[in-house]
Amino acid sequence: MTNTTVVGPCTVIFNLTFCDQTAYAVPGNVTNFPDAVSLGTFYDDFARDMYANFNKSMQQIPCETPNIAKYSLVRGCDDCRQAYKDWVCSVAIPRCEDFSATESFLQKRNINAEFANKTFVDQNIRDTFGQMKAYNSSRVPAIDAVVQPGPYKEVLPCDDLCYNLVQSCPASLEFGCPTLGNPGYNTSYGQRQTAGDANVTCNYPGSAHTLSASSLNAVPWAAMAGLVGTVMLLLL
Amino acid sequence: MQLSPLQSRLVASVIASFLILVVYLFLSSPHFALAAELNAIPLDHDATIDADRWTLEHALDDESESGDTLELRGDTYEPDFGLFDRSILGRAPPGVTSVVNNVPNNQNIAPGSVVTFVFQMDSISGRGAGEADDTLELRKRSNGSPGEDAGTEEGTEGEGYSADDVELVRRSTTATRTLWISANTCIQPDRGTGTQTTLAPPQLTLYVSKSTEFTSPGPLGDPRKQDWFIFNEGAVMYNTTLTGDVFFSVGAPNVSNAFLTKTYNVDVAASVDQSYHSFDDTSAPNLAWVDSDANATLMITGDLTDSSNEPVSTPPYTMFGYTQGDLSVVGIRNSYCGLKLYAQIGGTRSLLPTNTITTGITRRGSKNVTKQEFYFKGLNSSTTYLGILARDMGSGSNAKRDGVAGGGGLIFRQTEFDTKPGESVPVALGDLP
Repeated sequence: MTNTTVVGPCTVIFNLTFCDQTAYAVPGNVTNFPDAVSLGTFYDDFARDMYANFNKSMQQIPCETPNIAKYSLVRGCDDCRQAYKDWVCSVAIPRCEDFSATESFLQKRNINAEFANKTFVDQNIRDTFGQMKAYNSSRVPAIDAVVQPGPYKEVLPCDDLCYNLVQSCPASLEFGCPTLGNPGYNTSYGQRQTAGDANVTCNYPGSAHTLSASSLNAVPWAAMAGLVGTVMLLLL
Repeated sequence: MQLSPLQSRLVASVIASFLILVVYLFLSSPHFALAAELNAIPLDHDATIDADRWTLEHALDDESESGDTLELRGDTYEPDFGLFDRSILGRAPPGVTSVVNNVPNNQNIAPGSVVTFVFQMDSISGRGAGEADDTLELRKRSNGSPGEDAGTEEGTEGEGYSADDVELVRRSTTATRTLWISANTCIQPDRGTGTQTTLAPPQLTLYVSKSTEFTSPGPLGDPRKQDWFIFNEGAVMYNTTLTGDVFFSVGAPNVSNAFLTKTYNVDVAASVDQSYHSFDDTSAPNLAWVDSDANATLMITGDLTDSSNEPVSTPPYTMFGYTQGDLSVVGIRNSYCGLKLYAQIGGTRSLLPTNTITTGITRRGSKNVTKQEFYFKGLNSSTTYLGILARDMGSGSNAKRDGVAGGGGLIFRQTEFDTKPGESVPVALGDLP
């Protein structure tokens, strides 16, 4: 007779050395990485390696030059490095939700793998999406190979992280972002929540489930116009 | 005999006055004050009538040489030395516990009974206590308790005061002082395990007397002479302007037999600096829920300091938690000592392992300012929990809180968080962590 325990595909990590702003649930596996510290180290080392490659490219960019030689007058090399660090920490360390979560802004990942209890994702979903790379693997293949979290849903990084990267870095690095409505956007980036929404709709450094402040009810503009018109008709 | 007109007017006036007096005596039947227990008392115009004093003096009649030098204050000895602080020596009336500024007093209360406390105004007067910039003056002591008669006879009684006649009192300042009275329920009646009742244990009640003469506030006291406040989830805070000794008491209601134990334990304190125990169940706590997985969660506070240069040596906050629907903590959610005992996560009576919460200081966040974070582990999946942030006031070790303003702790409004769902997997017995 064995005891049972409940495990999920996600593990909360925090206090990383390189990605110091990262603190959220990430794809994990309690068998391969029994504690959060070892899992955090794995992700942190990977992000640091990606950043080191970028830093090598940055050595080719003239930074400490007079204004006429800078790549931008409003952004400097440090802005570019910071923007890249925010971006790589959010993309290389994806934010995880359990596969049973139903919010529309979540992206299914790794759907062909098996769950921890040896079951699989519903066959219909696997037939529909199982061939697409955005669904059958994590953004970072090393996660599926080393961590083996099983199927999970990802809270996509916020699109402004990518836009900030394009804006801050020199054009010679040729960064580009998908935009809303164009291919690749829906499976790569998410949008920030509207004010007052307690859900975390996209991932960014320092995000938290803050308590939603009581928001004023947004009166629909059509109703307002109708009301004003009626009042004016009555007055005239 | 024949009266002159003037004499006749006088007679008429006297007769009329006499008639009025007769009518008054017949109709109103006045009752004069009756002191039935006293022996025949020779009226002494110089002394105030004090029943205890006269009884004792009567008993000591044989021993005393002259009544003037015996300063009798009642049948309990009350030490009164001119240059010493009253709070060191003074004794409250029997049955009443004296509380001193910022020092908590812990009492058990049986159901249906009351424990009474007094905060004596003299305990904050005298050299050493209170503000250092209050000036002191010499005043002649009058008969009776010190400070009662604002003596203005300095110098009028002649030269050569003896040490018994004068005392050093604080010159009364124009600023009024506020007295805060606060209490926390530390132990409340137990429901016991497996019981069907969902009743919460009844709350204690604080009674505060409105005058210094009414010394026994309580459930049987005259409601016009006292204010009463029911504890809110095991805590109460009250403040009033300090004009004299304040008598207050805490009363326990009757407890039904559905509860296994019936005794309460309460921690009471009075302070002129700030409320010793406090709670804030209205404003949002300085706490954010960061994220959770199936078995753990991470919470972070707001900024602890204003700038990134200030170091924070000891984490100022602590946290307690419980599963939504857990009954053990209902009734003491605003009480720091109650949560330390009953909270499902962080309380000493809990059956869960004690290393569930780890806390630390971090600089994560946009401004590089220190915050405190809490990591809960070993939680159940798909469960809603409630976390209560609490602040330890005062510096130094956790054990000693006496004498520190606000040392009873500050409890914030609770924060809700959920754990993610997961899958149930078998664990081979040898693999249990």
